[in-house]
Amino acid sequence: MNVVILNGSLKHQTELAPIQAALEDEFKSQDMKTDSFIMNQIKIISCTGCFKCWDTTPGICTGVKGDVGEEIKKKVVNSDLLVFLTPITFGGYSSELKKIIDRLLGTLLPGVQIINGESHHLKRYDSYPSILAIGISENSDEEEGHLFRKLVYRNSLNYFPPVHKIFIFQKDEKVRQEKIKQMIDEMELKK
Amino acid sequence: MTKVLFLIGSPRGKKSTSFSFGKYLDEKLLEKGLETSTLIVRSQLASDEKITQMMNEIEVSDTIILITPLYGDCQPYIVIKLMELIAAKKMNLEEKRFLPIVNSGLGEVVQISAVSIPIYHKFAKTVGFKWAGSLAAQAGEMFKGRYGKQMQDLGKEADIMRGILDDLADAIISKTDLPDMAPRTLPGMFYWKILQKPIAKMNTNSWRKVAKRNGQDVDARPYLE
Repeated sequence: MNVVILNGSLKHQTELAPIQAALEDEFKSQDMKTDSFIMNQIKIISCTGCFKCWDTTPGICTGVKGDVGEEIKKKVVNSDLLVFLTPITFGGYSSELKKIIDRLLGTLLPGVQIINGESHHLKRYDSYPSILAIGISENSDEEEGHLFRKLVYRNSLNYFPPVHKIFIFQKDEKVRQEKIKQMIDEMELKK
Repeated sequence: MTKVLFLIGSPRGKKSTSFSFGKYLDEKLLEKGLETSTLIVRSQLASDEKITQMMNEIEVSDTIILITPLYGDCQPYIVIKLMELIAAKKMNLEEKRFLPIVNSGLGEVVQISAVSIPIYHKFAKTVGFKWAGSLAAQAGEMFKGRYGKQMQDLGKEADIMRGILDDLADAIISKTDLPDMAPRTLPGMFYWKILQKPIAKMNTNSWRKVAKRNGQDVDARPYLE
């Protein structure tokens, strides 16, 4: 089972590091192969909205060059679980995390289908990874937490994860390994 | 004198629906003698000097209109980066009016109103902007901004959207606060339920044709191991 962790900490933010470490320990103990990426330490050029990953080189971003965005995308395509780690930013993802999420557009097809009365892009692949989204809340803001949950839910409609779960940690909360294990167990990943 | 700043948040820059909406509004405001300026967020993020210039423009403007596309149910990276920079700068923004306009290629307004507009609300409240209303514009793809078309150049299909932008310009000029608006932007038949699936199919086929013209299979599955 393959896991990709995308850590969207901004530079100088350290709160997500112990969560990432605890997740990696837990995945290792469950024989899950993990690739972790701390986005602020990696050169990623942001999506230019050129749509070449849809109409020119389908599934492959050729609009930007000279970064590891496509390597990460390849890992995501072949993963069973995708973990988002982010400081909750006005209820959404941090810029560092969103930079790579935007680059995953090509994992979907440009065409749309109607699901429950809403347009959603068609699947490019038969299966997609489950999503575990973990946000850090700076000030226990309920409104932000609510928005974050809604955003991940909306993403789940568009990125077809078999399972998606959302967990919010408070900024000063101690990371307990048993809580991390419980979170992963709750994903009920098929091995 | 009122100074209005348009921040164009599309990663596509000038070849975008966001830019064409901004340009249309800008011309309306200039006709009425307002002072305006327009910055392309992506270009402004290219250097510390340009970021400082963008922050300075925000400081000297009374009304900030942020026009963005919807990317993955929320703001594109460059817009989140902009919001983080504004928040980190801790400027006094209390008297400044803030009005986001969000456009999505998809046909349902809920795609925009569910998360993106509430995130802008949260942002404005956090940094101290005065909320002046918002506009969620669905079916932005119909206005062909990514092909460089301007709202002024489009035919009847853009009449409704131009009317919405005219009303918005009037509200900006008179400093009238607006509600969060999500009007229908296209002629009525586009909203007929019976046409929803055929329109989706037409959209899908048009992408397939473009990919085929480029010698590609739109359904390709690269990277699978």
